[in-house]
Amino acid sequence: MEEKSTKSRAQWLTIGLFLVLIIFVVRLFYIQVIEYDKYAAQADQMQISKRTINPTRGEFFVLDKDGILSPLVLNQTVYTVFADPTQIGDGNIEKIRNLIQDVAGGQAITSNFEKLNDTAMQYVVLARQVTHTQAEKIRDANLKGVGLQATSRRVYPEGSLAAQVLGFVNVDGEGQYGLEQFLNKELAGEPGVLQSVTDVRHIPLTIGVHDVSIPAKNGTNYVLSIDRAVQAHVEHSLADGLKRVSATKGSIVIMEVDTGRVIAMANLPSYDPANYNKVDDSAVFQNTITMWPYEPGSVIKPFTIGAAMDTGSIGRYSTFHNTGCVMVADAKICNLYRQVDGETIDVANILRYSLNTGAIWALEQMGGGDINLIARQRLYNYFADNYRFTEKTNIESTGEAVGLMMKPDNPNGARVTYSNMTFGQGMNVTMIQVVAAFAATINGGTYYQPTLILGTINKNGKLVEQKPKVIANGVLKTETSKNLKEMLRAIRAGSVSMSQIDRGYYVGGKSGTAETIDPATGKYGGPTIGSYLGFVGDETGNPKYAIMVRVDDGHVAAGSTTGSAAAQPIFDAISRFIIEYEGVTK
Amino acid sequence: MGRWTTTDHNQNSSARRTKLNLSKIRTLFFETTDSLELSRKHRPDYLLVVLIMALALIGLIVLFSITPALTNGNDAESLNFMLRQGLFLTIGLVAFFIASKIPLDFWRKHGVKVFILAFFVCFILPIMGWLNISLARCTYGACRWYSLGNIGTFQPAEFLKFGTVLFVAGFLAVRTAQSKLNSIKESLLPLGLITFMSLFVIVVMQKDLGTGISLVAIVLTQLIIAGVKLKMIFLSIASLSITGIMAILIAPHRLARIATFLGQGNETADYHINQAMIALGSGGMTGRGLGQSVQAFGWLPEAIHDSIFAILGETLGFIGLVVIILIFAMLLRRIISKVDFLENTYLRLIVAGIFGWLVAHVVMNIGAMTYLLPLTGITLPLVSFGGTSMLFIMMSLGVVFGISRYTLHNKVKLEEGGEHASSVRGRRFGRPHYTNRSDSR
Repeated sequence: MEEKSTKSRAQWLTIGLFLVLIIFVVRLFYIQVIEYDKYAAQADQMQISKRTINPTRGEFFVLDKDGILSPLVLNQTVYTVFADPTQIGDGNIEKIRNLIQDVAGGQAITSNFEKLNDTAMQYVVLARQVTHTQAEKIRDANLKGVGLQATSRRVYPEGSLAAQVLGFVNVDGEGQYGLEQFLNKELAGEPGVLQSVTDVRHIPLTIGVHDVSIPAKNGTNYVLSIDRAVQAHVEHSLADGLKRVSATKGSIVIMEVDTGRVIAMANLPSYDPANYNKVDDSAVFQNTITMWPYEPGSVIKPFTIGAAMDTGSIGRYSTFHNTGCVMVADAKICNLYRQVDGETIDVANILRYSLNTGAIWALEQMGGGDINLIARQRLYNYFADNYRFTEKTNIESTGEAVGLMMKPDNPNGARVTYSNMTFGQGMNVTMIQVVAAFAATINGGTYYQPTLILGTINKNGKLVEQKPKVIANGVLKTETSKNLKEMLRAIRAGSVSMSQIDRGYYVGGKSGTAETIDPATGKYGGPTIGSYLGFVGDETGNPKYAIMVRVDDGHVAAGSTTGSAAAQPIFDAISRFIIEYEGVTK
Repeated sequence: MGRWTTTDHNQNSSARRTKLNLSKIRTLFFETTDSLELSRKHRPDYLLVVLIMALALIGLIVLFSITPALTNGNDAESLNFMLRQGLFLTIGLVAFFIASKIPLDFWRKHGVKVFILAFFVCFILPIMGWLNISLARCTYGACRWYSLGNIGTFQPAEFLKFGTVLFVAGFLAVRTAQSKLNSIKESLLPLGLITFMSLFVIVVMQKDLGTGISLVAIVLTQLIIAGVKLKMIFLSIASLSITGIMAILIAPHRLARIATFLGQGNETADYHINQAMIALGSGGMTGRGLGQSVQAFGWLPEAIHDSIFAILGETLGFIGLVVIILIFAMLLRRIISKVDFLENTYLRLIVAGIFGWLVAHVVMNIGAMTYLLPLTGITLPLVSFGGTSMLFIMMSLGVVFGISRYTLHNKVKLEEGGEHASSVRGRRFGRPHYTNRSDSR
């Protein structure tokens, strides 16, 4: 009896054990089979770490005359110093404060220091933009709870040189304005991905099927067409020129006429892209040359004359009788220069004396003696299609604007507007549009894509040049182009002082003074904008550079125009420099 | 020769003496029954060896597959790891066969001494820890290991389990022979006192609840098999429960583990359980495969020790775990089934104690890994990495293997003219005499 009962106890224990083991098996089935997806997902989420490899942003260089690439914009690794107040420990706060103050100095964010006591926080920024050397010192101090975070910032070895051309990079790493924004995608490159199963310290393992390794694609490094020496001189000359006439604003652009490459592009006032966040008026970020269309005034006259000659409506030696003023519809349009009233004037002198009546005469000739639809259509065709004044140039600059131009069949005062357009009023264009078209009118008729890019740097650090891009040929006939440039040169050569400046080099140009609309009255009478459009070439008679200068609200002596008295002296200074610069190196 | 005989003691030798009477204490604790006079040895249960080796090899293979995780891919270190576990297994196997050859009388005669030695070794360890003696290795304030330098560590709690099995078996066998098994005063109270002393050393001083539960399981299983009245067993369980609650209140980390189990635990314990569940769950039906365990790479704490079951689940999947549980089930059933074929109470209780020990480990370990029981930090027998556990479990299984020679089971076969008869003959006649001469050739 007793023996039987003990035996059954052993069996009962076995049964009990088996029941428990069956519960385990059921439980395991639930965990491993039914809930597999849940745990597999949890495992993946925890074990697989996906790391983004940040690409290096592309840098900007310029090619010096000696063929060496010099940096304009570079990347620098800087560090953000932060602290985790929960990790510091009581006695160390004072030590941390002192060290950061000593090492980081001005970069220390002292207002955050009191947060070190706040253990509710886990991330307090103590200093930003700390250099590598400073970071080393902080690292060597080995303070508990203090960490360093590497970030990249842009540095500008040439300071504010060509600031609006370059733009800047904001704290989010996005290019703003200029080339930085326009080429942001190419500069940014593509982030790489490193995905793998990791151990608990997030060190990648070789097991597993989730491994992905895509290296980062670094951004493109660009070589700009900007000539560092010319750009620096241009900015200097512009500043001097503006100061001399107490002007508020000014811009200069210089383009190679046979390639479309911009070798200088300057705007004042400017800013320091390294400290873009200290700028009060964001208008200084804007590149006036590409973003602000304006009524350029008489610098447009060569385009009108070119169109009239090209259509055969006038010849180089055609003449007209200058009455000083003409009536177009109900508007009376007069010349500024009245010393040649009543004289018979040839085409070259229309440009020399900048006669509005002469420009209107040229338009009339395009319509067989009247500013009819044919005349207007012909002028429009040249301005819009040949000179491309109604289209963006697509230069590498963010926010490029395009001017306004009335259609020739507009019933509301097209005659008057088109008369004004012959001397650059009643229409809007940007400086880059004017310069690009001007280059085509004097280089034999080829319109090159204006560009700021000379090329890119390949993997081997070699420059890969970007070929000049021809947008259109036959902007003007070769003969027209030749006549036009000779007339523009003659204007300068005719003056003793100019010939001394130009020293026999092939220099030509045309000033312009545009009236602006006074915001107070809504009519013309605001501050004037003086412009000068010209070219510099060598003794062989080939223009090399098209140069345009713009000065806003210059103050000049009575009887002078801002075009000739404010803008032209700047052109003279620059053309002289270029002649010397090229002369020395040639 | 006769069958196993149990010589009963003179029951009235000391029964009516005063409490402090030395001879009574002798009777209570130290007096042993006479020689077991073992006879009718038959072939031992070799299936035990097969099942044990199956588990040990599975453990070794999975351990080998995750050594890169444990050694940061250092090949030399990986090999070292393997060699160590291989060495543990070899030592375990040697212990197994030595234990199986040791006459069972030896254990009965010296069981009490073994227990006292084990108790002493356990008792002085935390004291050495408090005295900062470097021999004691303490982690998180719990001193559970002796540090033996290059040889490794030694966990005396495993020794105490073995000692407890021997001591309680002897004690209850004597009480059974005296027909005092159900006497509270002479049987349960003294046993309870000694068990509480062990528990105090293990659970309170060493802060090792897992081993404490194992000890309780050993004693309870032996009580059950000894035939103690169920009422008495429930009484024991009740008093143990009270002690258990007190133990929990004394050590807050245990409360935290219970809290984890109830879903409100601290981060460390929660983390351990979560990682075990992720390891099991992500293993799925068929597992990630050998060498594909990710959780072993630092995610799952104690990957090769207490958490090896979860790594097995991640590597071998549900199917693999079912196979492993089946092997455990077969092994444990095979062990406890010996009880019903043994006449001698002492031997039955030895087997019962070892069964209770293994069951406690298997159930506590798998239960914790599957979030059915609180985490107590206990190894999976034969599979977990660790020398002491391997040594004493193999030794105990060796004792069981030795005992398996004396089951009545084979007597039936003998009467039927079965294999045992021939094996006896074989032993007598078949032994080739020339083997001795081979030396002189």
